[in-house]
Amino acid sequence: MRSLLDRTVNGVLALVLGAMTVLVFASVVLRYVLNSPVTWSEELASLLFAWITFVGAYVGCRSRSHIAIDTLAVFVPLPVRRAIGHVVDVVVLCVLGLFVWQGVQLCITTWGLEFPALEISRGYLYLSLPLGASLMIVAVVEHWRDARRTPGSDDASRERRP
Amino acid sequence: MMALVLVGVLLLLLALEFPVAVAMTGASVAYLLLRGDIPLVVVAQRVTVGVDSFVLLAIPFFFLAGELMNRGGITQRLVDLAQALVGGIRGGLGHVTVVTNMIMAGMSGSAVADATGTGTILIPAMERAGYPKTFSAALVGAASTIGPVIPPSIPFVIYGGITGVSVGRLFLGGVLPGVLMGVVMMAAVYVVAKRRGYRAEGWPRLSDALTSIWRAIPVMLFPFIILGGIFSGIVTPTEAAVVAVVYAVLLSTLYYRELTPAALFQILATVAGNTAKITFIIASAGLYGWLLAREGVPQRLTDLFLSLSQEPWIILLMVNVLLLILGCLMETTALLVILTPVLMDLITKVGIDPVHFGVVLTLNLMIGLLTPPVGMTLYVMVSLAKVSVAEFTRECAIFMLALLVVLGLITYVPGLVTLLPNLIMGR
Repeated sequence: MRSLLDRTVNGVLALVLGAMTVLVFASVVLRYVLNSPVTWSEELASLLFAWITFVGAYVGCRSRSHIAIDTLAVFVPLPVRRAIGHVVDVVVLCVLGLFVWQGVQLCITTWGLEFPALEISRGYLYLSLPLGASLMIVAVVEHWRDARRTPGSDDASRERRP
Repeated sequence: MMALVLVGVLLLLLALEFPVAVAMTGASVAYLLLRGDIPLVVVAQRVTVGVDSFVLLAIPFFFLAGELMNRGGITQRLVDLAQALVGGIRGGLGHVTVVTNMIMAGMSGSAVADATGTGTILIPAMERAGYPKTFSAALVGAASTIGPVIPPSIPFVIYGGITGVSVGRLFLGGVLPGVLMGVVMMAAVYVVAKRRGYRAEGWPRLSDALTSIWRAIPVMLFPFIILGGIFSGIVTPTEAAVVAVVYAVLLSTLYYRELTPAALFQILATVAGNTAKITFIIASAGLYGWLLAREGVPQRLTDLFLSLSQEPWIILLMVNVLLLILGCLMETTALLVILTPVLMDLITKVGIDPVHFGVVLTLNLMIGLLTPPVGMTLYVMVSLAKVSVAEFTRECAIFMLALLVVLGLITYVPGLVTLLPNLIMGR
């Protein structure tokens, strides 16, 4: 079940990755063909990369496909795994909450600092983490809601990968 | 004592099936809370800065290049080309699989993307030609590990990004070992084919062969664009990856006409999502690795190794065995990201060339992609070919043996790795 948020995130990710491609390609062309190097393109591309990482991590949270290790879980019966899964979710939410909280703090303290070439606030880089983590929190909650609507679907996602 | 918290909590969380990225952050936070003298804001700061890197930016672009090749009809052209080149040798399609993966390795940076792309085309083709599915799945899986050793390579980008070793040198260092992997694997295919009586498919007619070669010429420009651009110093590896993406888009939309704008949009979104799964781990490792270094864990590991032996060759043996064991148990990227900074101290202290070690480490971890219980390529192939994990592993054994032989060779003949980078880029 794909929500409006899923489709929005998907669209934004595709656009940002497309824009990064154009940006880096254009800077290579400008450097060699027009002989006028763009100094800020690397900074902007790296900044967008951080955004792709943390906003893109929403997708993995939504589909429960973040890389995890299921070596030991083979030996544990399903009901126990399910219970452990809930504990894991709660701790994941705590870590994500910490990302939001400290990420916002970091944004506030660094807002006055600027990228040397890009001449925008470093806060735009640090904002990617709290915003992405907020989306991930929504993803975990959305997953719970879906799992309640269709009981059993959660077990399927706990089967052995892939 | 505090170092024990870092390592112990990480292992505990990993065992409980935490996503690797959260496990690393969780262990770091537990450590920070127990210490209490480092402000928690370093969590946000280190994690974000962990991915604010132009070098690592090459990762989504090399993914993208591989995905575009698969969806834009480029992989099919490569299979046709390989058929024309080696299809007539005994075990024909087996050799085609290896050669396709070797050429593909020169364009894509990800073993899993290569395995998916070539497997989708070659496993059904081999089934039609009468090869057992287990054999083709095992072979495609094993051959795809050549991908990240022959440049360009996502693991080399990650290793270079973490250690500061030149990605260009690592790329060059992977060339000979990658070719060696291909040759040894083709020998393994020949042995299996002979023992089981697989026949050659016969050489294609000359006119057909020439057509295949002609059609593949635009594709063959790929490696030259990427590698030529990097080694001549015209572009950085990241820029080369972007140029490759643009070229792949042009080729598959304008020339082969197999890619629609809607498909392109979907590929971009998928690649961004898949990239995040890896880079989220790298971001968390930015924090975790920093704390490990603060606690002096790398030095302690170094001391431990050095107390066992001072000989570089014994240390390389121990590190290799350790990595092979861990490679069975842990996901490759996670392992690369966690272990690289920890092992670097040891490697430089014993006087091992970091470029040499980077290639050894990568090839070693690639073998881990094939081994149960945790191996990404293994699971991709098993689900693609619909065979069981046990069947796959049994059939893959001879190819893993081939890979181990190459691993041994490049570990103890460092020249195989360092010759090209030293020759082309100076010492």
